[in-house]
Amino acid sequence: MNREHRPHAVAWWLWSAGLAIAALRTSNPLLLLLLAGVICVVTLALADRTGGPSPLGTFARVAAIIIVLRVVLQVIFGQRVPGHVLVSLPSLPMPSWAEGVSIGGPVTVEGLLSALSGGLRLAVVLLAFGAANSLASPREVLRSLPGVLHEIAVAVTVALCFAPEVLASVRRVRQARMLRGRPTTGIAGMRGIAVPVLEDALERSVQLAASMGARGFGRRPVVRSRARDRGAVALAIVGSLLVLAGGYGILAGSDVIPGAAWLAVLGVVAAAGGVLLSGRRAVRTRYRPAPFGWRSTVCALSGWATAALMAVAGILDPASVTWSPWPLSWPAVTPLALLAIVVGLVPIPVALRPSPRGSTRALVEVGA
Amino acid sequence: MNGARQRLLSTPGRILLVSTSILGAMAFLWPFLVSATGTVDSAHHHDAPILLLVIAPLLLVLLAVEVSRGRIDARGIAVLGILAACGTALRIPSPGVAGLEPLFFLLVLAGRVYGPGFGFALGGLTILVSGIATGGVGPWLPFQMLAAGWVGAGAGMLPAGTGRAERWVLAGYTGVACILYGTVMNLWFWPFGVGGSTSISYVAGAGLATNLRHFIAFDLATSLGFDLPRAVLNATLILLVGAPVLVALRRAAARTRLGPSTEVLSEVAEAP
Amino acid sequence: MRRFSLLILAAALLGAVPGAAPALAAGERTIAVVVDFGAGEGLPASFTLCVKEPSGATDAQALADALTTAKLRQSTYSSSGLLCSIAGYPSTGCGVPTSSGYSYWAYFHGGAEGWSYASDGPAERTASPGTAEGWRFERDGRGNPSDQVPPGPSGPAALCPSSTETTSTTLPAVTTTTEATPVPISATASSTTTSQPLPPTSTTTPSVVHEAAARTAAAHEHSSSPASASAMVTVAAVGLLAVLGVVALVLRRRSRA
Repeated sequence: MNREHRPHAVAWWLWSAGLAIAALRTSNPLLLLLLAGVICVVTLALADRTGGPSPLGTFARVAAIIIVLRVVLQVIFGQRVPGHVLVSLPSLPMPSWAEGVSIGGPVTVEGLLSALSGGLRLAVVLLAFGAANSLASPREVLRSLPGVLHEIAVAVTVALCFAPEVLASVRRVRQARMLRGRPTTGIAGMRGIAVPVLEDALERSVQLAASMGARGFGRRPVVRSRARDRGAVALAIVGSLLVLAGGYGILAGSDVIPGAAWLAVLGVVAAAGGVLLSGRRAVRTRYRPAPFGWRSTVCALSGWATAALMAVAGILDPASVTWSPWPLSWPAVTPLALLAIVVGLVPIPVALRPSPRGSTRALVEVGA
Repeated sequence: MNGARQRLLSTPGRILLVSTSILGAMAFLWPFLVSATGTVDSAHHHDAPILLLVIAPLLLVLLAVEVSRGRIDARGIAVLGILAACGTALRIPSPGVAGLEPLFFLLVLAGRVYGPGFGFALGGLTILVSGIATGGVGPWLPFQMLAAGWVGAGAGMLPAGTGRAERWVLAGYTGVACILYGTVMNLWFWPFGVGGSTSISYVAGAGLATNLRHFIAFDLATSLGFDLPRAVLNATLILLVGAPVLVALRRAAARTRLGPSTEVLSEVAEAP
Repeated sequence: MRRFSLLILAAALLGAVPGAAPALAAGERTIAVVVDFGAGEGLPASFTLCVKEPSGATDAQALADALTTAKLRQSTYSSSGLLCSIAGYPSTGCGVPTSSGYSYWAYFHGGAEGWSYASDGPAERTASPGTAEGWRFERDGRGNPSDQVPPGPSGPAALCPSSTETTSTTLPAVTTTTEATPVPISATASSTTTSQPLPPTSTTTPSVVHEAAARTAAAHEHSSSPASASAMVTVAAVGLLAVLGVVALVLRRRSRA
């Protein structure tokens, strides 16, 4: 199958980020379930199923644990939120230093529903990350890092390549020790295995460094300009300080630091400018660069359109994306919020590879 | 101290490391900082996770750029990559064992031998690589990277010493660092991971004392039972296996230092 | 994430601990509920109701009973348990930031020495005998103890002079005290006040609140889209969810095959 027909790895991560942000903007369980459905359908339809178990399954399990955790915490430490009492647990007396912390007490229907919908929100965010991991392996994203991060990307690649070798080395040493009747478990075994494995690995690192050096790695193509270096770092520092001030202002309320959101945006721009400025030097060529074509653009935009529509729906009518179990009511959905969800499905017709059997054609119709 | 310390960072780089670390600390500690002002702003409460998910990777990119831009050469990259592979190997088989990651044992010793900058890079890189290797790049990754980076950097800044005393200092530091790592990771999860309707939740505007009490109760209830055994395991490993590993790391550090140089040499700070 | 399994274990252990609940004395207690609308949109400034609660009831229950007695809309809470509206006021928003502050329902505990800003929620506190609980809508508050307290006396004795009496009735009894302009007491309020004599100054009227709150609520409902269209969209959403679920199941089965 042609690689060019698949959207770029970065596009998938952008799409997932958009859906995660959309999930964070709503507390309506119906919308959250719909988002979860969109994420699962797109991932199951489009993920490359060539290697091993899908990370989506792992993330789904973690998400389930988080929902259970939320509910259990609610039952034990339920703040006795008002509502219909389901069951009353015995409550423990708390020492004076733990004033305000309560254990046990009545468990209300509303409290449980609130914990479930809150857990569902986190679960959807996790599913979005799981989808990103399944649709495009982080290794593929690594290939698209900007040239500035070249050295770090190389270190990551080295580590990724050598991790299986280290495990093999552990097996070898363990086998040798077993044959000699030496202990392989416990502290003595650990000591006997760790030291030879580490020495072996460090020996390899010296060889690797020599071969990298021989191939010209680490040589700077252009004479560095000190003034520009300093400027880039200064810009990055100022940028991060602005992000700090702006972020604090956003969280603490608009009256503490005026224009906090703009400060944060300015800070991000300045920091990114610092990164780009210091990266100007690094000229690297790529082996078989993956194209970021129209399919990739549409996929990335679809995720962000979902987030934007959800935000607009929330601004126009806050009640349409928020839901609270007080008073108990069925979560309502507005057309705009529903549109936001449907937009998230756009990658299916765009990125679905034509199947020789033609059976995927029907799938597109169902999915869209 | 006879170890050769590689300086990955130039002076402005170290300023950047410190300033971004402060920023990272704020990213973890915002519930307490905001509640100290005593203002309720639940309208922006739900923006916090989005904000953090933007800020934390940004910090790491800044630091990565600085490391890349600085004095790192082929040998620095090779040692960093291989030690991160060893750390990943230590992490991968252990996820079932109740979070008993022996990773910190290696991270502390390597940070001790190669210095704070290297320790920071190794901590972050190991977490990143094991996340990529297991397909588990989740929202927690940037925070784990920052926290593990601090553990490595802290080990590089411990006072000089040799022999048994050094090992005890390192073991004590590892124990404390493991517990702090668990606490700090809880701190990241707590404000929006528990919701607002329990008596151990983050309460916007409730004041520092209340939120501290709630957080301590949350930490005790959820994770101290895992952090303590992990701290004991890593500290014990340092006491019992630390000496030969330190020797191996120092020998390798000395060899990298004395090898034939490429253009940008890794600087070696002489120990006092 | 594996640490959560310990938590579940801890939950099981805690559940097994025999009840150490504080033994509450039997009998009812009188609680003065003061609601101050902060003078806005045709609402009266405030009203006070004295309700009788069984032992173990929370202050939120007291507020709910007071609103039931006055035939007003029940209060709503956000998903984190934050009090959003009382008697349908305000009709939208929950703790909305204003240009220079924050508009929300502030909660106070009343005692003989004055009102104190509550750091806990009304549902967290078990109502203790003879207390006053005050809510004031802060139009432009700070969200901290510097916010304006409800007007009038804060002592329960002053608010509910007959609070020492107990009656056998299980219905919450109501007394009303004067706060605003004297208006003849409405039938809705007086019908429930039979069990206790009215204090001499009692004249106000939750019915004024009732009408005003009903007005704001009606205005809100009128402004939103017609109910049938909204229900259709919700049904469509549920349908889409079902379709997504089926497609996901089919795809999962196919990927396993």
